[in-house]
Amino acid sequence: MAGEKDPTLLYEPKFVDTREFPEYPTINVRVQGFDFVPLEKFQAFIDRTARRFNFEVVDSYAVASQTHRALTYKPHSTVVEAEMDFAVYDRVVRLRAVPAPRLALFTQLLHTHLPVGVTLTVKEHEKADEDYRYIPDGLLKQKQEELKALDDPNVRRNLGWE
Amino acid sequence: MNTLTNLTSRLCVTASTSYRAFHQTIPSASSVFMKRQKKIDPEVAKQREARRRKRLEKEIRQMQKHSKKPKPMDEMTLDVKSAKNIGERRRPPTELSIDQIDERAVAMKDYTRSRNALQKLDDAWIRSALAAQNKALKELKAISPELYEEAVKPATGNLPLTIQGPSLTPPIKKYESPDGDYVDTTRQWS
Repeated sequence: MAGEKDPTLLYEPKFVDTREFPEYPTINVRVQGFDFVPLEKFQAFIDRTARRFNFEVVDSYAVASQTHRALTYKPHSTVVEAEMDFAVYDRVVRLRAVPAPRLALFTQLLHTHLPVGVTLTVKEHEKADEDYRYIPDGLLKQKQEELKALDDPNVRRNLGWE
Repeated sequence: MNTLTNLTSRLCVTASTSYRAFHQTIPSASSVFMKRQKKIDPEVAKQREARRRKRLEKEIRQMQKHSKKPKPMDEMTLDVKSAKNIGERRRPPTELSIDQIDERAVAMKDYTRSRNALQKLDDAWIRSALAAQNKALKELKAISPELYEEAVKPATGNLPLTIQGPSLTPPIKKYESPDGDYVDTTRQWS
């Protein structure tokens, strides 16, 4: 008899799972700092290093900065002596296919290269991280709540549906 | 007598307040849903419900398609005020002598070589670290498969990991921080 003997392989090819270790679903590497030029350089470095570790870089983007105003008071009063505006810039690299034992090595390398005054946060991706990039849409939320309210027995009774 | 009425009235007040202390408004009290309506025929009700759901779902789909607007980034937007008079700040192109061009080319090459050497060091480190880790895990697997399974599992307990970069200077001795405050002025989207 010619061809494959295994009946499961008769009509479909075999998809081999090449993953050696268990993987994290999605990892967000977030860098924050007061100066965005070194921050962007470091973002590029994170991207490059992740590729060298054979991680998949899903996305690499900038998020709106957080702005603060620093005030100094005159001694023994709340009279403002000086004030200064500054921004904390925010860049994120999103990774996938990160084998669990490799993440520690990756963060170790990032730690040794971390520029002055930059904070690095490594966390698992959540939906809130994605939502944070966009302006929340009040009208859309209202419509969604209205749709959800249709399941509420109180509302249904008031509508005369039950 | 007087004191007694005083006392009872006070009692009354406390009793009534304790009953009324908790008053909650239903969030959508002002919406159309809260007007009690007459009981209608179940068939008609079902039809109306289906229609309303369909309409809402369609509206939501339409809005989701168009509503994803990213928050504006100040550092990436054009500064209109300075862009208007950019012509005033244009400089004439600098003329470089041959020597200067050569010197800069050499400096550039030196810089590139130094960066390349650093990157090579990094690559060598990555290669050696991966090899060492693979070897260690292999040995561990041979000794105890349970421990290997534990070692290879994603360590979600460590995960929101925050690392602070180095500061520009070492801590200044006897530094007295000024009295002051930080006010968050981030643009809020309600």
